Amino acid sequence: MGLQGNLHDMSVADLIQHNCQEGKTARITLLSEDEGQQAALFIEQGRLVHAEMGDQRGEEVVYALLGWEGGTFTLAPDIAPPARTIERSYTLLLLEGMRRIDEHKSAAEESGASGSEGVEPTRVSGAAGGGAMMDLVRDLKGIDGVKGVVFTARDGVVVAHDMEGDPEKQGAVAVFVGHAALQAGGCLDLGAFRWATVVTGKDITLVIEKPDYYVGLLLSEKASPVLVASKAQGVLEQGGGTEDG
Amino acid sequence: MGEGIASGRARLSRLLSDLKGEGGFAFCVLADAEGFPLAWAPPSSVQAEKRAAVVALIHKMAGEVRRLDLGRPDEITFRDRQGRRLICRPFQVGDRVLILAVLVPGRKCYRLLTRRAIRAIRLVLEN
Repeated sequence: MGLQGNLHDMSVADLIQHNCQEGKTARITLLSEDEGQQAALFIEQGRLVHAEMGDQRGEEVVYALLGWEGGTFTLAPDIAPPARTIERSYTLLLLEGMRRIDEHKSAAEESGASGSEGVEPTRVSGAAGGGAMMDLVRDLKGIDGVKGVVFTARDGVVVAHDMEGDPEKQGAVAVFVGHAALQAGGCLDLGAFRWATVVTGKDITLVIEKPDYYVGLLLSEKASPVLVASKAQGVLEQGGGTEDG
Repeated sequence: MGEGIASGRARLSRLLSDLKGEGGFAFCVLADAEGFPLAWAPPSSVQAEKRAAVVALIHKMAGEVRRLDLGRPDEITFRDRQGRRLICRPFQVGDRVLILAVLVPGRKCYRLLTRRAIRAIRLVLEN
């Protein structure tokens, strides 16, 4: 006898996680409440190996299902998968699915309230930015060991910078690293993310998170990220940030 | 599972257990680029899966950095407000990219130990 339930009581993510952690083999059939779509997930000995919905197969089906907020499910134990269309571990699928949902929500919020709050970006024109933010850029650039500074809004737009080379690329690094740090911290029960570094050959990029933006600092080879981070936090706090740590 | 693979896994597990003990790390995990844990310490498989998935996510981020023509990251570090550092070190064994991650409490040193561990992991996997 299969188990039945409502996705309001047990989400798709919970269903996957529970059955994988328990090492189950099962088919989970899902029915959406609004569009009448049907999908199936197949778990084999604790690994999510196949997903299907209409003509779609594989990981994209899982990502779509993770966005379902209502519907019903039926769990049938010991049903072998008809195919293998998923390679990634279930934990990675869940993380990627959650990331996509977050991105989708952010995009929806932005289109609903475009430019109404948060950092008002001063678009870059050459090595520039605007007003108080440029003062911060200048002060940060004055720290020993800092070769370049870039302020990036969370959507990746460079707000202000002072660096040689391509500030857009360094800004993108700051956003990638900042997002990954937030996800990693949440999943590994680490405390709030303070800063991160990426070492690439002789280059060190230090990324500091602020409530509305990421700060990327390009460090010289011999700079100490710990010392620079500490000084930079001081500059950012004095500059009107809302640092809580 | 073949005997060779099983003994290889056992050696990797021992290696990570030694690394954890020697460095005083909270955990060590060796993952592949898809998020599957190959070896870990301490021995909790549920936690290891979660950690390996996060490490793979970080590796994916490193891939984005590489695509920007900024070079291939050798090391990615996250530091939290308690001073703990999650260190991820991607490396290659043959065609395969693996990531060694350790959670370092406080001011403990990790670089020499992880470098040595990566050398030892390569030896296990190449033999």
